[in-house]
Amino acid sequence: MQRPLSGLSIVETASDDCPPAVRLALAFAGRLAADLGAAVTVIETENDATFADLPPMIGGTSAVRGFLMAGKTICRVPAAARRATAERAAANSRALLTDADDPSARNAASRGIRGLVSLAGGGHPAGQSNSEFTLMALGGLLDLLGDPAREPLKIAGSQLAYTAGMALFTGLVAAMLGKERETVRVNLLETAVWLNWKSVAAPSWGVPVPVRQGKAAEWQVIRCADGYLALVYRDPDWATLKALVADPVLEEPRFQKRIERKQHAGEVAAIVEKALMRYTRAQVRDIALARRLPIGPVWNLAELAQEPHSVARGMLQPVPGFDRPAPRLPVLWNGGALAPDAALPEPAQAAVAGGA
Amino acid sequence: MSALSGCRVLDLGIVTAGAGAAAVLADLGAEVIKVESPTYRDPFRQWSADTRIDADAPVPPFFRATNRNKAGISVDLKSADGREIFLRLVEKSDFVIENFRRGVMVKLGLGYDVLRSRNAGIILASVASQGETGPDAHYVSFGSTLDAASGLAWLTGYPGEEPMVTGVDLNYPDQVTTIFAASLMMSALLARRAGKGGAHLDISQRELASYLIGEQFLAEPGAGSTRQGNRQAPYVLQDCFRCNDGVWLAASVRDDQRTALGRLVGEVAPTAAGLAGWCAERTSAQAMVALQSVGVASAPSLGGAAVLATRGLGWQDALLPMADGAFVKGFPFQLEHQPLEIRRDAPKLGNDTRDILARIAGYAGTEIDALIASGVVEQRSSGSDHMSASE
Repeated sequence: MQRPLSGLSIVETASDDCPPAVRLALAFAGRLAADLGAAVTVIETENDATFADLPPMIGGTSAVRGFLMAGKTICRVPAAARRATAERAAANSRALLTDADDPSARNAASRGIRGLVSLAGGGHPAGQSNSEFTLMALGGLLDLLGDPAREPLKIAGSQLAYTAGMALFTGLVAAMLGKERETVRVNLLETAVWLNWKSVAAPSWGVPVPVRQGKAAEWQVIRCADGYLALVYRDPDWATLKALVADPVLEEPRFQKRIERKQHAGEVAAIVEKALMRYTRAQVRDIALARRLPIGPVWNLAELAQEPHSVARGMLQPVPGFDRPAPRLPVLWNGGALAPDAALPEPAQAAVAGGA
Repeated sequence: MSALSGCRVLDLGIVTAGAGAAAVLADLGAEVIKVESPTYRDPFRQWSADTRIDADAPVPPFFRATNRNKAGISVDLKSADGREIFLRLVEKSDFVIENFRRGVMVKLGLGYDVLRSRNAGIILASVASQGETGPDAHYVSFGSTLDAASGLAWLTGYPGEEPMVTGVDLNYPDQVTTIFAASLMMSALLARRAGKGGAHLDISQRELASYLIGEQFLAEPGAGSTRQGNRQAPYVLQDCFRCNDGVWLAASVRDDQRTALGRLVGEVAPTAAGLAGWCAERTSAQAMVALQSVGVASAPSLGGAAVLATRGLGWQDALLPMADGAFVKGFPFQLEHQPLEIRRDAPKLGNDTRDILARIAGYAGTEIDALIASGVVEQRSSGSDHMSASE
């Protein structure tokens, strides 16, 4: 049996002036579709291979290109032929994914599905230059991470672009379930605000707007014997955490209600760090699992490749052209992974009908 | 007509990841029935330690923002009668979504095999922090636990300094799982319509966070696997710079803009320190105008209130106001011909129990009366209510 989207053909392309963040979003949407079995064809120009020079570079090859183009068919044409080639391909495909300013999208309007991405939507000042980073700033995402006295921080990688790509893919699949002809629109600024819903909507609820708090944050990274831990806990976890730490200071009245404890979060973190400093991350993992505490070890990427949970779930799979594996599509479909060109796993036969 | 008109979702989802994914399907026109219990409510209904949670309690902001467009029932799934109610609904539904602790569904007698025995085409989305299987399947996790476990925290932070998590106010892995899970559920529906049957989707939030930094795994450890702060290719210079009005200005400089920027800040080869000093002598508005004049992408780092004030200036649908002015989650994408819309407010507890049991599960009025009297189900006594979104 084939993968879920087998039989569907999608064209992925971009105009010459497509902003880098929009191109990343398009490619991420195409990657998701390819992982799920769609035949994704990328139309790109001969002398400007998509992401060819985008680091990290491994032996002269872009890891970004390798990861995002995995499972796709690449069609390279002279620059002057890109638009016409994309239009022809789109006419014979279920969907076209491109940037909103691509002229090839206009002819595709009368056939099938278009997925269009832009940096920002209507009303944004015309001619204003933007990047993924500045759109994160405008969406409030930078204001939530980092030290309040220092520059705000972005989350690592291309999270806004990739999330926009995921939104595009979601809209694309919805469109495929609906009418024959549809246009899906995504813009990165809209995506940023959507991710940041709690902070942006807060004024309308009459509650304080969250801001970055650095080492005064309720959840933060602390050290341990061999690295770092994410100190994460909710109010119901407080008694268990106190018992683990066993420091009488934490019994003081100012720590017992969450609303006051948050004002002393830095102090709580320092006390917990001191108590857990004797443990390795693996030891904390065992303790947290046993006591049902959401404290998490911070793994680096090399460790994750060997980490028992990652290995048990086959989280990493080979990528053509690279020595190291990369994360597969993060779903087990009827218990099996969706590897390129693999059959769709069937559900196991039910042994006995009825409950536990 | 909406893209998912005629589809039905049984939403056992709670908090963000599960409930949020179901909301995406509701926005696309699916009938989404949020299933809570007389003994268990969505934790988002607990706004504070003093929050009253009963059938007529006001709906707190997080719950309202996440669960609009849904009907709500309250059924005790631990009872035999409650379980049968749920399974009758499964017979008439396309999807079940849940993000309970691993093992809860099986313990309730509602594992995938059981659901499938009542509806061979059912699509079950199990949205788990660390997945259904593996040694960490029972690890209690929230978004920042997964930042740490996925590698995302390892890569996030100031250059040369310690890792950072996205924290309780953003909870990044939960937000992205919302969209991803919805896309997989709809992909499964496409597959079913193509004759490929139902499916059990084991969706791991931790694995999604790793997938979102996937290209970094291909790099050699130590090359691209250390914290880069705000640096990001293809920009030769990217960071936030504090202006003299206290505003941090985000800027991204391309290689072909170096010369023009250098002339602006008075450096032959512009540096981060030089740009920082230049910004410190200007207001954010002055700095931004000057940088934009040479094509450098730049924008102030806004807080939540300032972002809300910009609605209509580049974004419109990500958050939407209800009739009373409170904002709820909107849409991360829009369809031109079958637009997503908010049609009803989030349900109060047991808002639609009687209607759903009668209309979909086929129970007679007297049967429902008995179920209410025995406490197996709850029905909000003041009847259903609908508040529509404002324009």
